[in-house]
Parts: sequence; structure tokens; C-alpha cells
Amino acid sequence: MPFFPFARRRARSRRPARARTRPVTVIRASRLIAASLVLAAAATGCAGASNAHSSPPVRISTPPSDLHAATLGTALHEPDLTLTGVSGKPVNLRRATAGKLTLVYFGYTHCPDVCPTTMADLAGALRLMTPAQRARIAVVFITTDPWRDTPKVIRSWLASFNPSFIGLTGDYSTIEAAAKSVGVPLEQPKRTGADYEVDHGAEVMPFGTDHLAHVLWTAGVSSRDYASDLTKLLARMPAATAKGGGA
Amino acid sequence: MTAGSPATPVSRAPRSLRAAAGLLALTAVTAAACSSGSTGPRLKVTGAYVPRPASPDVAAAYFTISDSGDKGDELTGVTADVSAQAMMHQSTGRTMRMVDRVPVPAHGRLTFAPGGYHVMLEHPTRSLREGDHVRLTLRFRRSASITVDAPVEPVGYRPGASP
Repeated sequence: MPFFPFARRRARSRRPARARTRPVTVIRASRLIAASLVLAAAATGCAGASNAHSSPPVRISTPPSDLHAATLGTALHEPDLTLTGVSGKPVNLRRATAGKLTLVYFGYTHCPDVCPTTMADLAGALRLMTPAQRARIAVVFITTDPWRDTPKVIRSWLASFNPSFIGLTGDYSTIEAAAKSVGVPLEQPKRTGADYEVDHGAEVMPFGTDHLAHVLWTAGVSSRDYASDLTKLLARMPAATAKGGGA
Repeated sequence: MTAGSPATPVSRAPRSLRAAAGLLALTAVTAAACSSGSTGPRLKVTGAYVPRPASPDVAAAYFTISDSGDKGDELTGVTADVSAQAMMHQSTGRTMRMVDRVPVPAHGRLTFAPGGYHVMLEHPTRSLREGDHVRLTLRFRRSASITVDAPVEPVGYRPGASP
């Protein structure tokens, strides 16, 4: 497997260039008591002016048309991409999902917040739908961290959400090019000592049987809203005359 | 399994002092001392939870801090009993950034929730299963620290969402 060699396996916080660069603060549990004592002393005054300010959590939401997804001016083309599946064998994205509404997300398993939440939201959406509807949907997770995300790691991670989800890993430059082609610009992984930082996608793209996506969801859509949108998208899609062979 | 049970705000509720020991008693006492002032921040931590992590290497913690006092405060750090490396992060677009401090507005609230602020718990020292609890200690610029037991909820859990 052509994984890049440089990575030491260690999760680390993201600190993009625009963020302040400072040493990572490590607070040891053994210092809890000391910290409490200090704070106890400091807290007795309860004084001081509050001039704190910073931006609230970023939430992107653009509800257009009758969907919770954003409508794209120009359709996205599903990458004709062959990577490594969770079984360790080559998987072609288009062929593996032929005849299905294919939801593609770029992320990584060491991502604490957005990636697992997005996969869980999608898994929750499928649980809200009928078996017949579910059979017409494929969810594809493409890692942006192929160094840590081996087929085995991805399989284990996806099993927490829905074991039918398709996981893909492989050469980073191939993944990066595919992501870029659908408007997901990944910053080059940054090394900080033995660690490195990667990006995740902020969107889920639904490709129809014509391999085009006309809408996309930005992260933060609830399972209920996904399910509602997916039902509508399936209704617009040609009935499952399973076109074997796909692309 | 205790899914659905609210996080226990250890540092509030004087009645629970009998059951709480050592450190917890200390933080409770200091919090009470602070909140008795009429002009300071009066903080309460609710709804803390940790979704069961899909990765064995990283988890996240979420909670809401409300301030019923006349002054705001700042959350300056969070520690957890399952990770030597707990860091406050903010997800922004395709990345996340580490944050040193997050303001808690007077007569308002600060929410850590998926897609926004979260505490990243690196390399959990034990596997986290639904029904377990993670003890979180939140430190503030003005107020005494507050310790809560955050239940481990299902993977991808969102408060108020059914699936």
C-alpha cells in the first residue's frame, strides 16, 4: 500500500497557520487538586471586569429550495476514482456504487468532532428510511489521512456508524486531486514535529446515477433533514434498474 | 445504562456533599462561596456528555455553561479523567483550531456542541462505552472550577435528536 512514510502515529490538534502558534498545553490529571486550590483562592474575590470576546461556534446553514442542501450552480462530477477498500482490495468509486444515490464525504478517523458527527448523522438518516430506500443509497467515506487510516482502521471506525458504509484509502495525492475536483480543497498536511494535521471536508455530496451532484449539504445537517432530502432525491432518481457495471 | 440521565453538576447541590469526597467537596465549597456574591458570575454546567468514540484514539466532550450572574467569565481549560491531553477546540469549516479561552457571557450561555466548540480527548486511557462516565473539570478565569460527570452517550449523539 503506497502510504506516505513520514507519519508517526499520533493524533494532535489542528493548528492552522492563521491560528496562534503556541505550545500545546498539557494538563495532567495529577495537577487537578493543585489547580483547584489555586482557583479556590482566586475565586474568593469574584471580581474583575469582563471584556472577553470571541466569535461563537461557526454554523453554516443555507436552506434553499425544498431541500436542506445547497443548490449548486454547476453540477459536480463524481470522481472516477480507484482506491483501496476496507478489505484491502481496490475499489472503484463509480462501480462500487453503481445504480445508487452515492453520498461522498472526505474526512479522517482521528477527527474528534465533525467527521464522526457527520457519519452518525448519515447513519441516523438511513435508520429513518425504509429498507427499500436504504438499498438505493451508498455512503462513501474517503479518508484525508491515509497514513493513519488503513483499511482496517477505517473498517473498525465505520462499523460504529453503519457497517455498510464504504471506506476508501490510498495515495494521498490521488485523494487530494479527487477532493479538489469536487470543490473540497484540502490543505497540504502540515507536520509539527512528529505529528501532522489534516483537513476534513465540510460537505456531503450526493451523486446520482448519472454521476452528477446538483446539491450538497454542509456539515451540521440533522438526520431528520438528511432523511427528508434523501427521500426527495430518491424520488427524482430513475427507479433502481440496477445498471450493473456502473461507469 | 444511564443514557438520558443528565450530567451531575458535582459542584452545585450541597446535599450531594455528603456523598462527594475530597476534591469534589473542595470545588463545591469554593463555587458556593463565589456564587454568593451578587455581582460575580454564577455558573452552572449542564448537559455534559461524551459521544461513544468511533476511534480508539480520540473522543470529544460537550456541555453547556450558563451564567446567571451579572458578570461574564471565561472558560480557560478543561481536564478529563480519561485523557492527559484534553484540549479545547473550535471546528471551523474544514479544520479545527485550538482555543485558550472561551467567554461565558453574563446572563447567557456558552455551548460546546458538535460542529462548534468541543473538548478533544486524545488517547483515552480506557475504552468508553455507553453508560460510562467521564469526569470533566472546567476551569474558569474568575469562578472556581466545576467538576461534572459526563455520561457516555451513543456514537454521534445529539441532545434532543431521536435517531
